[in-house]
Formats: sequence, structure tokens, C-alpha cells
Amino acid sequence: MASLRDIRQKIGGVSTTQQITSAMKMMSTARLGRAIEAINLTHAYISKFEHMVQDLKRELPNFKHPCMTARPVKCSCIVVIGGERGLCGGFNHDLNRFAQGIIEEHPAPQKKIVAIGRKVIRYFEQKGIELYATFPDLTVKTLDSELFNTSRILFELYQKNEVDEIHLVYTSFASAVARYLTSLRLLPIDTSNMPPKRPGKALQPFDFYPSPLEIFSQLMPRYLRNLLYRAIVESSASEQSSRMAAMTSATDRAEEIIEELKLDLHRSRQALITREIAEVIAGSQ
Amino acid sequence: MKKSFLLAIALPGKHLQTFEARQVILPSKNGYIGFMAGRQPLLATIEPGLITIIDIKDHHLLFGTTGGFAEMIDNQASLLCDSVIEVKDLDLDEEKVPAGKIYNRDTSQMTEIQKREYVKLLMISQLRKKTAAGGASTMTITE
Repeated sequence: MASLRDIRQKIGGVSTTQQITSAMKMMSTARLGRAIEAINLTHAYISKFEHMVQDLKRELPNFKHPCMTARPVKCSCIVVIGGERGLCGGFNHDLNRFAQGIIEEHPAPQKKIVAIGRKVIRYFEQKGIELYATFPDLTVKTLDSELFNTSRILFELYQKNEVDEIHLVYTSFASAVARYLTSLRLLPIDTSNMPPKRPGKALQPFDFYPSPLEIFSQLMPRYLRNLLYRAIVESSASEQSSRMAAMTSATDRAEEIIEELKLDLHRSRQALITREIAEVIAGSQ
Repeated sequence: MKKSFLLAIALPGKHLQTFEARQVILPSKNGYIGFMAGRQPLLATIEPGLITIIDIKDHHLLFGTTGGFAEMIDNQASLLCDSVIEVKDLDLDEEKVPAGKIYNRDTSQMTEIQKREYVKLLMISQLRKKTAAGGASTMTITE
């Protein structure tokens, strides 16, 4: 049986761990709240964009643009958005496995993999998957300064016909307890997935300043940037909710272990006292 | 016929702001354009420059933007701006406006930072003119 000192040391160690997991849980809760707010704000902005695209499409049904027209796929770009840190349950593991499956099963002859987030970069490097570009520091904190550059690189790849389609793989956020692994085609855009435009009456023809082609050419990089923004924010929210759940169960488990150790401590102490009494009685007889 | 229309200003990562407006003047590819209630449907790009909103009380509200899109449909207008520069972002005493003409610069090759600096100069120049003419109204877009 362990000595009283050993048990007390174990209780101290588990208590310290419990304090850390409890603090991490609180931090994740606060970060999750901010991420949810950012998601809601982004939805409003993106839906406005989608309404504009729908208006353009409705007004000009024969309008063609490279960003709307699918072409034979020789090379596909797959952008994977992963986690920043560990200690978030199965979040990183599930996403990494899902992304690896998508990459391996994708029918395109050539693939360019772009990885965002430290954990996913490390995983692909360990698995020997060749990465076209990595953005380890593109996080929610650095979105304002870094996102513009990232989305520009992706858009230029498509514009210069270096890739024929761009896919996004990330963990989408539904609620604090529900998240889904998602694979989404960014380019060419699929307007059938967009929400239907508000039911409108017979409208007058649109005025376009400048031409529809030029408007669409300016609209697309921004649309891409905002979809990427939403995916990163959703991925971050999913990571935080996953970490929150993991830290809650870790804190609860630490509490159980402390209770078990306290019971052990009391039993050991009682056994020690009983033994000493027995020795005293034996000595006196 | 209605004299005002609903105007929504959307910014990435910010709350949607709505106004009851009588007129909006914004920088487009071919110069500044204005639109009022009952206008024919419109879809336009917004170039870096100044946006003026005239509200139902005839207040002129001014702010700058580095670009975006404007849409007017069913008497509802939406402005999707990349970013906005408000009067509170400016230090009117410290900022120096160059002596040369700052209007009509080619903004297509500018970086995002250069666009912001350019719009700031435009705003300072405009605000000084308005102040000299008897005061300027300001507005808050971001929260």
C-alpha cells in the first residue's frame, strides 16, 4: 500500500491538473462565445454577397464567367483548415483522417494541398503528403492581416488555370455540442447551394456600373475571401467547443480521482492507527 | 411615391447597420454616382473614396471606404464595404494633406494600406472644406 505521503502528493498533483483543465475550460468558453458572434456576423455579410450573385444570375441567365463555369479537372486544389493546438479531444484527429481520405479518394490526376493550422500541417508532414502551401499562423487572431494574402494566392491559382477547382475541408460549427466535417467546393461556385433570393415582383432591368463581367470579376475574390473567413472562424469555434467538452470531462474525471485518492488516504491512515494501537496493546501485555 | 429608402451597410465581421436614407452618393468606376428612392435596380462597384448619406432629416453623413459593392433593388439599398474609415479614425490636427491634387488618383494598383491612406486624405480634405462652410456631421458605422 502507498504511504500517506505518496497519496497526499498524488492528490496535490491531480488538484493542480484540475485547476489547469478548469482554467482551460473557462478560456475555451469565452473564446467560443466570441467565435459564435463572429460566425453570426459573417453569415449576414455572405448572404448579401450571395443575393448579389443570384441577382446577377437572374438578370443575365446566359452570363458566363470562369468562376461559374466548371471545366475539365486536371488539377484540384484542396484547402484543409485544421486546429491550432491540441487538448481538444478528437477534433484534430477526426479532421486529419477525414482530410486524408478526401485527398486520397479525389479523382483529379494532380492535387495541390494547402494546409492552414499547425496541427494539420504537422500531420501531413508526418504522413509524407506533399504540401503546396502552408499557413501555420493564419488564425482567428491574425485573420485581418493574413487572410487577404491567402485568398489572393488561391484565387490566382484558379485564375491562371493552374488548378481547375478549389475544395475546402474543415469542421463546420452547428452548436456547442454539434460539429460536422465538411467538404465544400469553393470554385467554380455552385449557385444552386445559395439561399433563394427573396420572392420578388417583376423588376425593371438592372443598371450595372461598370459591366456585369467586371462587377463579377471584382465580386469573386471578395466572395472567396469571405467564405474562407467563415470557414476559419467556424473551425476555430468547433475547436473551442471541442476543447471545452474535453476539459469539462477532464475536470470531472480529476474530481473523481481526487475523491478515490482521499478514500485511499483515509483507509491508509486508519490502517496505520489501527496497527499502532495493536502494537501498543501487544507491548503492554 | 416614397421619398426615402432603407439602406443597409454590411462590413465583414461587423453588425449590419441600417438607415432610413433619402440619398446616397458613392464613388463608382466612372465617378461619383447618387441614387434616391424609387431608383431603377442597380448593381455597382464602389471604388475607394467617400460615401455621403443624406438621411430623412437632411443630415449629411460622411465616411470613407476602400471599396465594395452597392445594390439597389425594391427600394432597398445595400452597401457591402471592404472596410470603412470614420471621422473618429482620423486625427485632424496631425494628419497632413499634401499640397498636390489628391482626387482622381488611380487606385486599381494600390494595396489595402495605400487605399486607406488615400481615403483618409480625401476625408480630411472634405472635412476641412465642410468645417469652413459651417460644420460637418459624422456617423458611426462600426460597433
